[in-house]
Amino acid sequence: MTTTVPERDTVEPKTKPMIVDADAHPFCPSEDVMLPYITGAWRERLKDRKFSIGGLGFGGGGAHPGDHLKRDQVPPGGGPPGSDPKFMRDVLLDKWGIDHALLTPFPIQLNAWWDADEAAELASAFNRYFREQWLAVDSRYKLNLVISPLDPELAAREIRTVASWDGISGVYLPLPNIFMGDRFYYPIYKAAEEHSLPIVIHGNGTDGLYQGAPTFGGGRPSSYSEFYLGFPHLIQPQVISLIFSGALERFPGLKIAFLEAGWAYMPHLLWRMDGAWKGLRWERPWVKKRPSEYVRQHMRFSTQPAYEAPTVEMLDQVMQMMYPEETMMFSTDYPHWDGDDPEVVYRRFGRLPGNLRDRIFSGNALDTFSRL
Amino acid sequence: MTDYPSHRLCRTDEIPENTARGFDLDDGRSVAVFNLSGEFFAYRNICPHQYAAICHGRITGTMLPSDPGTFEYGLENCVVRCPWHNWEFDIRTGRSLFTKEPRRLAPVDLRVEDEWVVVQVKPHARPVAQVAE
Repeated sequence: MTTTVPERDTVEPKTKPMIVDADAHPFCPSEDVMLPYITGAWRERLKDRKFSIGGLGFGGGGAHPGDHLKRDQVPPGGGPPGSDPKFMRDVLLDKWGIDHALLTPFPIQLNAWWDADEAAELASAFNRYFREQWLAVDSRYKLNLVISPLDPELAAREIRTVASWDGISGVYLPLPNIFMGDRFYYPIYKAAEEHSLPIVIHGNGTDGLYQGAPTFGGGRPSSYSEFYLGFPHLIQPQVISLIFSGALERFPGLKIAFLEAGWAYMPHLLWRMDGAWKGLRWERPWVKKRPSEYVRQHMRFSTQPAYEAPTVEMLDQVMQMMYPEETMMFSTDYPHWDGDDPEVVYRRFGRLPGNLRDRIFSGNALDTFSRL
Repeated sequence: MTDYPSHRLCRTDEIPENTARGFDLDDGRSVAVFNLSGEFFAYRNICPHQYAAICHGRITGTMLPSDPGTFEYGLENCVVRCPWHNWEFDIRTGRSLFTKEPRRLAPVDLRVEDEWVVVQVKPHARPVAQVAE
């Protein structure tokens, strides 16, 4: 038996498909510009304690050894790459013909914050800032509103408040060190489901470094390389937990997008889960479908970082094993150092049969982020 | 019943209720006989998954599909759980339970004759996995 891999088209398609970039990052450039968006006495409190929107930093050595943002993408007026919405409009949206860019705001590390109320206020401030400074600039920008996970009830309230704004695409949930199937998250899932907002999962530099942030299985990274390459290990237990806890049976409308952690590990996980489930179903009898069916219905994965497979045929074959027509979404991860050039991604995926190409470049994202 | 060769295996009271027993036939094949509350069922004695002797499986009920966080126990004594990977089969039908798994236990004709368990088995049957697929 052989895996059926779709034949690639022999020529580049003449028309560019619609493109949704499922993972781009706007950066807040400084504490000063954020302060007006912090309300009441919180502003004084945060000024007094000289808070950093960079959050916690990377004290343990987890910082990228060079530049974690692309050096050639510094805006003309200065500031970090990704901090100028007009410049990013020119170099990302216009240059590459991106129809929607889903913005997951950085830097913010609220999963490892100390004070739950302060973290909730900062999340609100971030959302207000990016609405006014980014969404207002171009309607192609869409915002994954950020929440603090420290108090799920406050997070749910933030979702319900911000969900009524135009231009909101999803909910960026910086993960605490609790598996995603845990009932801790139910208030968040309920609010997200009510408003048809997918949950967006994305590492934020705290992983494996700070108390409160997700830990790596088996130990602690000792370098950026170990940290960065370990991202898939942070995702796989979440996939398992969401399915076997029954969370997706409780929240049948919930969608989850796992960004920037790769995807080629998924065929392994789908097969392992489906196989083990045949003998373990009776332990978790609420898992009523094959685990892979939950993945196909509820979970999405971004293309970035693009795999450097030895051959394009290998890449196609692995991709085919994870139902890409349902699960895979194009993303650039602009302006991160490892972000993908859309043209390079297009060369890898652009010659896929038209339907599959369209699903990856826009269809899956449009179906998942249904408010686009 | 078929014209396949008959094998008198044992007296019915030699297989207590809600237990199973395996019988090696003289042609090298093996049959599992289940006594489900006085009703007898026979299958080839191999799990269709990795060919474990299904007669050694636990005879049990199972958890029925249920809402998250709740358990509903049912099918008491109607389930055999393979001793290897815990696949579950309905003793009455040989079919997999709740997983849409197409592979099943291969049924063997059985009759009770003068308090004896008698089976008829096709000689030189193909391996069960091939039959199921």
